Amino acid sequence: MKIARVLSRYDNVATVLQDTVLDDIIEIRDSNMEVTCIVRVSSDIKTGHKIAIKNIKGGESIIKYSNIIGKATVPISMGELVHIHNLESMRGRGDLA
Amino acid sequence: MFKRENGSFGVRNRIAVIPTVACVNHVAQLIASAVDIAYAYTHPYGCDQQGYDRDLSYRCLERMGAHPNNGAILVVGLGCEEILPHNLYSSIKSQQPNTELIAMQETGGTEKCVEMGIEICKRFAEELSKQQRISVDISNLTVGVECGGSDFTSGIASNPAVGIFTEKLTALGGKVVFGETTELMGAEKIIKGNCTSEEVYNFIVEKIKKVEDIAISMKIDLRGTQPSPGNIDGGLSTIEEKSLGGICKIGKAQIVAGLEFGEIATQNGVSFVDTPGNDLACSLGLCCAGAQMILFTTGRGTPMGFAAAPVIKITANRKMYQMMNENFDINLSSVVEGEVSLASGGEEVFQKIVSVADGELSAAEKLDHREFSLYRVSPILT
Repeated sequence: MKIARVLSRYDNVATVLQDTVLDDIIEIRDSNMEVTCIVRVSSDIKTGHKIAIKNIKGGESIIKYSNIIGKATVPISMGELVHIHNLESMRGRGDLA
Repeated sequence: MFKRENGSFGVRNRIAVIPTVACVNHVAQLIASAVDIAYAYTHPYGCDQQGYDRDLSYRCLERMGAHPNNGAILVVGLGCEEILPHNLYSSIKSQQPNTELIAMQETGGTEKCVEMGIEICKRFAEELSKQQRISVDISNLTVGVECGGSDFTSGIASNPAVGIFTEKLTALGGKVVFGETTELMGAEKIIKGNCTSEEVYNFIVEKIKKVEDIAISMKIDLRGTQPSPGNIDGGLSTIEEKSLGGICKIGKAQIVAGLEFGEIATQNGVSFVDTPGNDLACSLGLCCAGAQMILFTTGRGTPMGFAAAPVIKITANRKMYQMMNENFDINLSSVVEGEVSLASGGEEVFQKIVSVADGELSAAEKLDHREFSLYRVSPILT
């Protein structure tokens, strides 16, 4: 089965380790490689890109390494790709100044 | 290692050929290319520089000359530049007696200076070949840790493995230095936990804020370069994500000092140096701080080496490892896949550092990567 790695129990995203396509069922594994949950993929996701492992509201923080890596610009459902199209940085944003 | 007169130790016995100004680069290059262990520290500056910017370039060239990996130094200058050849020569010679100077305006044209320079370097090489490598305690090591061309594997495997190395080396009395100020943005909470004092933490946070304020005052969005297109293709979405992966290089080790670019790390433990994320500028800052080797993690295959120190490349991206095999020293792809533990990855990194300190060539050295750059902080006014 395809897998994704989640780096802390507070995270709402995991990193997929193989190219995945719509409707793939993948195991989310923690740092000890224990399976923490099973997720159905709802969009094609390339190796190394992130998948939502919880439902995330628009404006909610995206958490990886148990820290904030930015915020969701739109609501994101479990199983969706999380990348620059729906996650934005909150730092160094001179364009917003 | 090789013992220097000032009490420091080098892991290499190189000759540094240091141009004081860009217009003598070709001469320095021709000299260095004739002697295998001679490295040309060519750069585009030395002229039309003022104030702090000139002082910084001077200090960096001085630190490169006096770097413990050099057993001999040849300063090459023209004679009218702001970085005065005689001054730089004297500054380096006071720390490393095996230093010579060729000032072209006092010596002759390109041909004569190249001939003289090669003669000097050949003599240096013969002297250095007689010096024996000696065995010294690992606490004499300062290792720079750096990342470039990061991707999803950097934060899962390469950087945490380097973090384990950092914890081990500092526990054994050694020093680790890191920089890349921009790429700490978003990792402040973690850094706070590593700092031994409020003072060090505030120093680092102020430096991060300075970069962020520049972006904001220029009305630019750092997302144009941070993360870079390569980082994004490699799965990283924001600077915060890149930073949180990058800071794993420190592990749980204590950050004991915050240094300005060009300053030397003196305390056991981890020191932060205020450097840009740019790979060459960061390498310069870390080597100025005393790094005799650089541990460089890369998911995307950054091939560069550095004139002053062996650069050791670690990747955990299997595809890139297969694509650019000869550019890497360590492949930690199995750690990403969970087949090998992070602890054993960290131990592999540690053993590689020990071997390279003992003379084993790193991949970048085998490929003869000898990059160098200065770091300029002011616009060109004149």
